Amino acid sequence: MVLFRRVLVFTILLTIHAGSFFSVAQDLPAGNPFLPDISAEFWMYRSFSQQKATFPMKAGYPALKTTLPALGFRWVFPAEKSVHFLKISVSLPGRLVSDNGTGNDYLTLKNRTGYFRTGLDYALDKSLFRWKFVEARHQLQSGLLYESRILAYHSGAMEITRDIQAYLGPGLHARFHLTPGWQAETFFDARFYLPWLNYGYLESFDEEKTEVYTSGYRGFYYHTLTGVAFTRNLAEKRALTAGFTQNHLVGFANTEPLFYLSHLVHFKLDRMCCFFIRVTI
Amino acid sequence: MKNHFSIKHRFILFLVITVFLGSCTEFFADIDLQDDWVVYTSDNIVLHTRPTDYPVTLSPTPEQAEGILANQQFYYRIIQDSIEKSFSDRVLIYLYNLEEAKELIGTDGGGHAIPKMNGFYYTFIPALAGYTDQYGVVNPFLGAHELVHVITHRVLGYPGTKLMSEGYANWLDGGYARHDIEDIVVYYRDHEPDKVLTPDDLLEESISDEDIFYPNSGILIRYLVHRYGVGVVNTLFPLPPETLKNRFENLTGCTWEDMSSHYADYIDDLQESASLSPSP
Repeated sequence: MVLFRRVLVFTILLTIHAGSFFSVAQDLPAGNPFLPDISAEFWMYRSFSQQKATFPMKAGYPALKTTLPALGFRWVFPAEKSVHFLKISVSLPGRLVSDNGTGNDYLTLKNRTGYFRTGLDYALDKSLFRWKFVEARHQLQSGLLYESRILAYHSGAMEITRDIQAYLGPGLHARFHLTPGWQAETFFDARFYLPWLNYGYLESFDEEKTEVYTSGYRGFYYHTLTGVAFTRNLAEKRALTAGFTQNHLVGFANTEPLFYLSHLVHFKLDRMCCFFIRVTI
Repeated sequence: MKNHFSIKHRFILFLVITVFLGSCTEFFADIDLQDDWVVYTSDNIVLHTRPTDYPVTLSPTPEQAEGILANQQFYYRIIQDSIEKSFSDRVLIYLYNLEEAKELIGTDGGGHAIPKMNGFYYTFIPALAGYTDQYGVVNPFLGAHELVHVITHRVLGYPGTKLMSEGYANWLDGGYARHDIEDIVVYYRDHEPDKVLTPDDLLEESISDEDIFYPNSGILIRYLVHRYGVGVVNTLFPLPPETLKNRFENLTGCTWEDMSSHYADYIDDLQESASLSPSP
């Protein structure tokens, strides 16, 4: 029943998005949301273990975690009845620690671990409808996500994974004009990473730093982003926005591009909470 | 517009839609952040068990937990000696109680490993059939199977075939479903010969039933190790099936067909066990 409800909600969202391509696009909204902006971000990354491998999967301990400061820059290209967004975001490299569920790290050699993440995101944004103070917009999104992770174990052994992944998916954004000076926004983006559109490389080293295993891998991931943001309009059509995004990325990677588990070499059950402050420039 | 919708109403609508959209994020994976564990540690093992007052069925007693810890530490050493590889990282074991295990780890009859995170999940089954494993451990709650997965994946690489992955685990555990794997294969040979798998059957995974595949794979790996040495078999561990045969022949100078023929003789020569009473 839970699964049915989830699939139903998902189907409704996709239908709304797909159907809106055939609706008449509306004019761009008045106001100032479509200026380039720069953001200071703070990412809280947690990568969980595959506690239950059967569908629906369950993510649990032990988990790897880190916090990363990041910067984002978003270009905006308004067209006649749509807007193109292009955003690049990049984190500073961080150190990973593990949590066994009771707050202890039995796994990592922290000063040799590493995690780095950067992304390039494109969105074609169109108006879906506007009703009183609510404005809904939908997006067709694509982009690239690059992740590099060095998992250094206590013994000195290491597993290094690097992957670049392309995604496609819909987005649904609702903006609420609370007062003339304040707006709130909530959004849902769904990103699908197909096995043929991404590539990763795994290297494994033993305690003597001898390479024991290498393999390419192709992932099949599903990534959702939900978030809220509050915007304060400033003078001269500028705006200051603060908010957070919850990232959930789940999936697995085989040595071959497949939609099902075969020779599993990597998995992602990642959650990342992103706090940001954004200002138009 | 302001006349119809107050700021309060607008904010409530905003929250409702936020909650609705937020509920869409767990189609494929729930998260389990339970931290209700009692932790027992030894040199190389970190055992997590449910507390004795945990509300879901029976948890291990401290004495049982200490026994499990000691056994796993014992297997930890034996595995390294057997595969002639060193490994010194701690292995994390999460032992779930019987009634919660199916929901939380997907099985209530065993467990599964996550070698990348040096750990495995397993079910604590308070009442088990009597069994003494190949190392003389009497009535172990947990065998060596999952620990083998963790250590072999970490020191030999990710297995390219199910034969290698499960073969090592069953060879070094020595048992399946509380029976010695040799006894099971002998039983199959004498009573259900269709369940005796050839090396090709195992490499091609022509039968996926665990109660057939697991004992057969364990016996084949044991045979390969005894005949060709563990170093050769370790080299084959991460290879995909399409290259494994050629690599085997290059390493041993023996054709796969000759090995298969000799292996059939080896199965024929296995001695029937007087202690066997399997219903596999």
